Amino acid sequence: MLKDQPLFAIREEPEPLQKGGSFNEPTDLRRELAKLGKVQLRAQAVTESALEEIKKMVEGPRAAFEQFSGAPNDGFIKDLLIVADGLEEAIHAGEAMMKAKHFEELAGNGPQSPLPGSENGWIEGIRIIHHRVYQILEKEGIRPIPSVGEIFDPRVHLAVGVEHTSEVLENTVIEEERKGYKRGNKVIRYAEVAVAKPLSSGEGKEKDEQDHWH
Amino acid sequence: MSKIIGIDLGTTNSEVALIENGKPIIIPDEDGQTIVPSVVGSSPSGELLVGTLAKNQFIAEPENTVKSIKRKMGTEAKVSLGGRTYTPQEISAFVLRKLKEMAERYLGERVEKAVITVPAYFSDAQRQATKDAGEIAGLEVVRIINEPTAAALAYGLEKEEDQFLLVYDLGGGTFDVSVIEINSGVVEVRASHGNTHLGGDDFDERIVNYVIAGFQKRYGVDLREDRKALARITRSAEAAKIVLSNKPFTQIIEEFITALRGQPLNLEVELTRHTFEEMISNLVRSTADSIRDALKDAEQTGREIDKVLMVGGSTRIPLVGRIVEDILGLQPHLEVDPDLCVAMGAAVQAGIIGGEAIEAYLVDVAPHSLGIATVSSKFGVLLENQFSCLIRRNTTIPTSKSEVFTTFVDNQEAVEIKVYQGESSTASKNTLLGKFLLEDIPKAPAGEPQIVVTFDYNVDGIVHVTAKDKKAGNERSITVSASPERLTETEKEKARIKSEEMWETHPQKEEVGILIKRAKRVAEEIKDKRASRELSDLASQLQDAIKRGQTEEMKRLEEKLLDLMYELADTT
Repeated sequence: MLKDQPLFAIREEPEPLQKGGSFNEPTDLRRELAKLGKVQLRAQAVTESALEEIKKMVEGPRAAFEQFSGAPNDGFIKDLLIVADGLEEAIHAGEAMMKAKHFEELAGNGPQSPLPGSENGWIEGIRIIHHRVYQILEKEGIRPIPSVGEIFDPRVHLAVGVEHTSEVLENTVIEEERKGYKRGNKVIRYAEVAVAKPLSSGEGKEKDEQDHWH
Repeated sequence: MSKIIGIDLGTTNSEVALIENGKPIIIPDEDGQTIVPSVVGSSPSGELLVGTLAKNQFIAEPENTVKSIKRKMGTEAKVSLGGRTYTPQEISAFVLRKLKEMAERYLGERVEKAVITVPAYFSDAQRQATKDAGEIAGLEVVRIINEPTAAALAYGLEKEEDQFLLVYDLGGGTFDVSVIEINSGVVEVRASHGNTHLGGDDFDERIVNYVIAGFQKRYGVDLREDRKALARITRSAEAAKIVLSNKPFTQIIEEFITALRGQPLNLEVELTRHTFEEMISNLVRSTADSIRDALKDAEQTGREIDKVLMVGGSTRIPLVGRIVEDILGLQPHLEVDPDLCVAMGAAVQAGIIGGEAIEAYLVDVAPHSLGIATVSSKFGVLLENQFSCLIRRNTTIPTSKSEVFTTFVDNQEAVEIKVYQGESSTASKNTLLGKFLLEDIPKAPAGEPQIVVTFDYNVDGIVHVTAKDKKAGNERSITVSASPERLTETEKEKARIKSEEMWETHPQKEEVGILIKRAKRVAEEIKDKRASRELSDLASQLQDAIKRGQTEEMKRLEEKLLDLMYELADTT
């Protein structure tokens, strides 16, 4: 490491040339030259070593920086996922609204929209925004965790409810209440899901659970 | 000798810690998580799950998942898991084994010994069961210590003078308070009281109830019937609770929470700290009885307690601190992370047993209180120049705190924010760090505008103060430096001596080292084999001389080496 000190220390001052002419050329001059040469040699070695140190100092953090600067941290991703959730909710709500409106109009109750399908276009817009957010996530290697239709897997799914049904196999994910995401094998957020349980034994078990745990 | 680890084996969550470089550190798992849910399960495919994964399946597989086993320790209860029955010790052992593996992975070596904490009220049977659990997990339990004792160790108090402490532990689901005596370095629990079913989860529930009731009143829709909506509100409620520990208000927002006659409905509620504290007031006040009971048992009056330590995440709630302070007349200590305090203390105990040097565990704290000058009226008397504290002394930094203030006269259009540092309740007796004016406040009756003042204090002691008119949205800010704790004369003297010593550790020697390195490199590069040998021999001799500290020889050899290098440089 570089310390707060001069880069090199000249320990011996070169002797001043003597006055009065007793200067004995060329031996003395050669000796002076050698002395200065050695000082230079030492200085060069110190400088080169310092340069190497600096290189090392820069390269370590640079590698780390390059590795991490590109990848946003999980906290940021999690915040962005909330935006994606909100847009998804908006799309679902819009679709439900359209459906309700459609039935109203079929029944001849509501007024006809001045521009047929205008709400549809509006929902499409939201869908596009949602897609953009999705693309940002995809670019960072964030992928949604498959859930509905899959067998419940606590490594990627978090059970938030059970549905008693005979329509699908036991332990199949039947509903996704909050989308989960992962980057590579690392779960950023568990998918919150409802899991299918058989019809018959359902009631009894839930009661069991209560007795058991409280 | 292998490392001894410290384990906080909790009802809801567990942590593992150890001493590294003289300081307790909490060990993360491979995903970077430090908190392991104390949950064990057997997956439908018969695989053992411990921690988060077990918690994930709890609702889907309640009969194959075990939670809160700590409540059953020391009893004859049996639990079934994946078609087999287990004792509480065996279930706890799975959690302990996971913690042990986390430590082994972190250290890269086997771990065989541990210190495990238990509540002060645990009976001998419960302690023995905990010890057995450790042994089943392949750990020699070198000591079982009380959780409040661990907290005292985390604060390094066993090294201080004899004293009485009160440890107030309010976690996610349990509450207890203990009076601790420290006598000649021996830490002893004198009394302990509590409520095994009170904690942060109850506070979350109060917020959820409030939000749902408000929504029902407004729209006539009961969100409790909607599982997904309820989950969203519960999550938001917990987040809001955490924000309110530092801010005077927060919003609970959930877009498109439900629909009514085809129209989407959004949930948008502002929750003030005041409202929240009113909601939980009776719960928090109920803890006061436990404090009094513990004091009575320990034959101590509130005044004789020397220090109050706060443990458990819920102690970050300002109301909790106020109630404890009201009873005991002491400002509670929160410097060591209350969620991790017990695990850290277990690590300190492990370190002491293992003969490790433990430095005083120091966290960065604000050395002085920070606040602003305000005017208030008490019993009709106008009190000017009052110091309203936002960040109290010894608060762990970095921190951010805000409070709401208001105007004092009708149609007041500006407020002056004067930032002070100090402990006096009279503002001007403290040190003025800076001041600024927030102008253009829309005309309104006195007391109506809401001016939110926020102090952001970073680790370098830089404080960013912002005042914002909540309604109009305009804001002003200032950045000031909080003065650090001054060094004492002896500290300065010590630092000076150290600095001089450092200065004298030869830059010369370092330079010779550089020379040797270069000589060796030249020796490798040159073709003249004799010169190369001579050069590397000389360099080695010089290295030996340095190692032996032969100064004269060092000088002679260095000169010789330089001569040779110069000669070689000259000829090549």
